[in-house]
Amino acid sequence: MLIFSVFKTLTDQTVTVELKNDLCITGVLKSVDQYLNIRLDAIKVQNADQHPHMMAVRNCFIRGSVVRYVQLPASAMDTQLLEDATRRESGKKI
Amino acid sequence: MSFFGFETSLPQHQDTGQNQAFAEEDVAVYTWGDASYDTLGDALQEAGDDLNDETFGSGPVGKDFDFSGTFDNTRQPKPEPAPSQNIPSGLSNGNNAWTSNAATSVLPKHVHPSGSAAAPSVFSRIDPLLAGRTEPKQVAAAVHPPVDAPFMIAGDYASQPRTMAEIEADMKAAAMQQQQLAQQRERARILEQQQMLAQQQQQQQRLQEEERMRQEQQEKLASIERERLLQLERQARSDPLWAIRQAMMEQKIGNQGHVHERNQSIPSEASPMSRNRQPMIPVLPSQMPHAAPAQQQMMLQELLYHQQQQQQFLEQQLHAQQHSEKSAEVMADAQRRIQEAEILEAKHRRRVSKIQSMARYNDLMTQSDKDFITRVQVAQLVTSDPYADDFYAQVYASIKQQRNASEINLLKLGSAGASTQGNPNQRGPHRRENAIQRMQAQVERLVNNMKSRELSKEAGAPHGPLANVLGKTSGRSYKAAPRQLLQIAIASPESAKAHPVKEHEAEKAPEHIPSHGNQAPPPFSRAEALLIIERLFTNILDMEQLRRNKPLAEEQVAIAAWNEKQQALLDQIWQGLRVAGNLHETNPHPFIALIAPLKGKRFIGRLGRDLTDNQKVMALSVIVTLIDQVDVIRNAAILDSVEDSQDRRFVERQAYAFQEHVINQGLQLSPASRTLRVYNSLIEFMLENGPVFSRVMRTRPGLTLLEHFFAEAALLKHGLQGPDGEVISAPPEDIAKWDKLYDRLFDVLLPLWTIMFPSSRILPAFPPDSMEIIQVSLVTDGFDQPVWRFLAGFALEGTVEQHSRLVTQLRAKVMGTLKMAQRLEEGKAKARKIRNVDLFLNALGLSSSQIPLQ
Amino acid sequence: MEKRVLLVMQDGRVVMGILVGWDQKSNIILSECIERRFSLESGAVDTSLGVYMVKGDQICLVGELDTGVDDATQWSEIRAEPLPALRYGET
Repeated sequence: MLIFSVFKTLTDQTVTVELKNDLCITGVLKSVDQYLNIRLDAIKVQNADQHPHMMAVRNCFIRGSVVRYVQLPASAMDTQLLEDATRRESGKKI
Repeated sequence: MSFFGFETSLPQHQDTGQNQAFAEEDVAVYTWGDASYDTLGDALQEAGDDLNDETFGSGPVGKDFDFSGTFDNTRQPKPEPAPSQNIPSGLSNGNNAWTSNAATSVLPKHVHPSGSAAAPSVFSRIDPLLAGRTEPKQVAAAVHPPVDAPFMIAGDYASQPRTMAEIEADMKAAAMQQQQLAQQRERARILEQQQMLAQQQQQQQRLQEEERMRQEQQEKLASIERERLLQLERQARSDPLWAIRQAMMEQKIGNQGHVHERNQSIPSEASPMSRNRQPMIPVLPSQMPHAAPAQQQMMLQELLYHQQQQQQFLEQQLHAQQHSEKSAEVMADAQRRIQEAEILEAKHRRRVSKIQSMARYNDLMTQSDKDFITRVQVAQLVTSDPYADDFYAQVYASIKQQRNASEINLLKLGSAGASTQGNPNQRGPHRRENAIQRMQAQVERLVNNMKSRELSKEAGAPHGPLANVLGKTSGRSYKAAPRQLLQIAIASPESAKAHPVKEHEAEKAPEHIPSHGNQAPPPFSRAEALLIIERLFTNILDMEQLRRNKPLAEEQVAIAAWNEKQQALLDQIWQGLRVAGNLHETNPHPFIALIAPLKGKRFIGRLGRDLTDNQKVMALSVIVTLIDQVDVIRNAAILDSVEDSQDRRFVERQAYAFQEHVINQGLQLSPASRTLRVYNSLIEFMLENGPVFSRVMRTRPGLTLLEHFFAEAALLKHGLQGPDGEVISAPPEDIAKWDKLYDRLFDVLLPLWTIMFPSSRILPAFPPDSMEIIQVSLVTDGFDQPVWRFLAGFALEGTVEQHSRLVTQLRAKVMGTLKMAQRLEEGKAKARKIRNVDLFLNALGLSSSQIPLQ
Repeated sequence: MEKRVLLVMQDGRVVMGILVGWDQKSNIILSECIERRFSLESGAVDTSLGVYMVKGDQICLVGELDTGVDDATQWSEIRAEPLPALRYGET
């Protein structure tokens, strides 16, 4: 479960989650489960003046199925290692 | 006790205590009005229920066995329903069963529908035999109606063979003893009672009851014996058959061995008795007819049998008496039992209270249950190889850890040239340790998370009225982890391996060129190259995995096998790189084609520590010889543009990767192999093809490559600082060769210098003296800087004569740059321009400030 | 548990309520639900809904409500486009 493994390393990093309803939520990644449901703390909705709906929400649970993108902090990623990991993953399936 | 929610007490003794019922109840009760009743009910032990509470708990019975659903949540026992309502009719009331004529009843009462009237007689006939030893009262009862108890009468006759005097004496003595004992015991009992009353009423009651029972039994026994003695006397006198029977018995003992055998267990007293009796009736045997009726013989056998039974019964009673003689012991025993009972009682109370306090968690798992399951689940996650399923997180964490550590260590150790991942030999075991530690921490965290979640669930559950109303889905299990949904058929290993075979053939192909004509095999397409690189990456991963599992140094056999495996993998990788082989096999060369993609360049960088210096030199030779085939050189023209474009950025990245991953990392020679000779020959290779060289020198990557070799060579020429401080200089012949090579290089490069500056290639496109050219030159200054630097380094090695030639050659360039700088306002841009020029001028001992500008 | 949460559903509706139950499939039960309807024409309008059981696959996001901020906000003054429904694929 590579993607799970990757998200584990991103715990406590600030990520931006773009939802399929075009909402972009930036927050501190607290946990990701096997459905890739995401828990964010200290959230901030981008374009807050257009989306005041969640003004009173500080942390949230995002259902994995509604996530379109997760913007990861480049500094917390090792792309070469990610390549290797995908190689391993694909190698396992053969 | 009420088990299973049924009321087990029958209507007849519902209101009597168990012991009382024992003495008073109607015998027929146990037949339950059924002729076929097997009387097993009588075998039920009604006594000894005192510890039932201990066993089953005395509290209100839980709902566990409440199949009838009569138990309500308030745990208040319901008033006992009327037996006729609650108990199956066949069990509760025989008459009911009969009158109802239930055809569906499973009870065996219909097997002998001879009427309930037969039941009592059957019971009373059988019961004494079954219960006679334990219930003397019934024995007595059976004795009285001789018609209904023929066996007992027979048994009474059987006790005859003793002399009356003996029996009488025995019985009297026994009676006397009993009387005394009874009195003694009564006194003891009162004493006991007083002591007990102070302490334990319940135990006392029980003991009292027992004592009374025993006493009653003994008194009854005494009366039975007395009665029987009287009866025996009476019968002996009145029965005419008595003498005959006596004689027959004597005869049997003498003549019929089998009977004797059958009665071997007759107490030994019996035979002396009969022998004693013999002289009393000496005439009888001769008077008796030898052919006695069979019936008589049968009767005699029965007599003997029952005599034996009686004898045993008496002995038991005597034994019991002897036992009870030790009343002091009994008392001590009683005391001890009281204490034991007290302890048990206390334990029991504790347990009951605990059970009750835990009852509210009855339908929940205990915390330890949950923990256990969590442990099992977590244990499944922890494999011997945490890299298998959690590769990224594991390695990422260890790299990060190392990076943090090396940031500190870097300054101390100065581990320059170390790849980002450090030395694999140091890393292997270290990383494994880290992994284990991290895994432990992780497991701990998982368990804690689980715990806290369960806790919060527990805490939340009673309050959340709707908890679990959604129903429970199959428990949270790791099996629920998402599975691979797309089963894309990946090229099978066979097809993957087919390629090397093909390559192998291709490798051989040049040897057969005559037969194949001039048809060269096609070079690798980009896709092919990428595929090969991927396979090589897989090999590298295999190798890294192998290194993680390096056996301990002590296991020499394993180490040897491990080394072999590693070498095989390295060989495979080297073969895969296709460095060796015909240089002009394809265009581009297979190796050059492989390093064309960014991935290929990175692969070389990654491989740096695994290639031998020999292999590196070979690879470098291929690169410099076929440098015009190298993608970054071919595409370098794109770099001579100041406009930002995707292509440019792409080539820029490639050029950087080529320099960084291929030259600086992958093919960087170890210090021991860095000799002047190697660099001499590499530069020589570059110079070999003049036109190509001049073209290559107009590219930034080409120039950088030459600069790299030149810098190394120059360094080596001047000698290296050895470990002891002395200067290790290169062999003189190499230095001589180098000097010659430098002169040659100087001559080749001299006309090229002006064009080597990117600005010289870019700026002419713009109108001179325009503001635009100034702006563009600001960008090209950045490109020019490496050339100025190389020029400076190159000039340093030259002679004075060469210096003047250089100045002559480059005067225009220097002047042009300085003029451009003059037009700029003071600032960073201007300073940079001047600094670039000064790099070169300073190397010659000059300065831009000395140059007069009109 | 027992916390006021804000639910954004896949069709863009915003429902707030007390979280009283949920399961692994993120099915959720809310009590004392209030739907908050946003519009540009007038301020947000709250409608009481009672107990709501929401199927997990209709849920987009569940956020813990900061009741302090929520109470302090004059929602009837706030005008905003209702949240869009989920959109799959490119526009």
